[in-house]
Amino acid sequence: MPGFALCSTLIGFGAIAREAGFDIWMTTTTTLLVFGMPGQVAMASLYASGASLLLIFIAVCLANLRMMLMVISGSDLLNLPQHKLPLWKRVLLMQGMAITGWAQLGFKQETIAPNDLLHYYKGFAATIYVFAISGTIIGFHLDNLIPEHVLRIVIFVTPLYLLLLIINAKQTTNKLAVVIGGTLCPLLYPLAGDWAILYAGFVGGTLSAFIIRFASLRADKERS
Amino acid sequence: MKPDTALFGISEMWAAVILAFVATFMWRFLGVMLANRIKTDSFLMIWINALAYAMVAGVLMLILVYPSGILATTPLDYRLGALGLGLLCMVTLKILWLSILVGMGSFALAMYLL
Repeated sequence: MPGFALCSTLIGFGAIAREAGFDIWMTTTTTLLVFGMPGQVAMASLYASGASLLLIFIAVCLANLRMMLMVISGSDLLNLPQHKLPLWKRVLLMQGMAITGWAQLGFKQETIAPNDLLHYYKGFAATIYVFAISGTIIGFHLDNLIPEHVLRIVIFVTPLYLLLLIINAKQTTNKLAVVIGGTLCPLLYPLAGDWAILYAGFVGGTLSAFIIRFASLRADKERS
Repeated sequence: MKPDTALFGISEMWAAVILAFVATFMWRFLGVMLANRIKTDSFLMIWINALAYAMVAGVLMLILVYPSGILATTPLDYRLGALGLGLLCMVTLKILWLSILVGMGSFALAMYLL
């Protein structure tokens, strides 16, 4: 399912990149090196609209700052510091850390033992990488062969699937963060543009962390 | 679409691809460097996790509310209605495949029937 969802999303990216004038090598290299859909779409559509390289850089930076948080959170889930891997191996492993892999880890942490999670992640990341590259190539070449009404539904599945995964987060703090961040971001977007992601993430994450912390401290106090 | 011009000897399009890579890789690298320094059960880690969840939810909602490409040709209330049904199913029944089916199915039905 994650592979299918990611493949279909990247079909969408392949189509957008071709429309923007990129060739197949540039499009595939983008998926290979960036491996983060929102940043890739920002790059291709901004280029198509005639934006400067500086603006493209800033937009991708803003769209992908979350990668740092996901890498920290994902390393924690995988117990990575305890595995004592060399830096290059950690960097290589974290290249596969994007929304799909990270959300899947959060979902699977309940059913897979912490020590096996790294093996699971390696296999999972490698598989979704293959699906992502395949989707990009298919989208670039076969866009016209997939009927538009099917493509629309296929592309709708990815954000739907990932939102369903993260709303099911184990910790209440993270659930609340999803609700606040997810509601706030589209509301702020008309006012703040790409900065809305940072504002909504900061407000949603901070509020939920403090609310749940405060609530659990109060519960502890009442108990004692 | 703008014409591909040369910048410092490399095509401007390749420059855009490389810049997008740098703008993403630097965050991942920073994450790898910081990951070893933050304690698992600290409040800082709880906060970072919450920030990541809120930010990812924000990005995904932006894709749904302000889509680019072909999804932009679908009505906003269909997209949000289908998401709402999927979420309701997930929160109440906690069955992932069924929730995806409900969300995707209701979106497809709305597109064809309404």
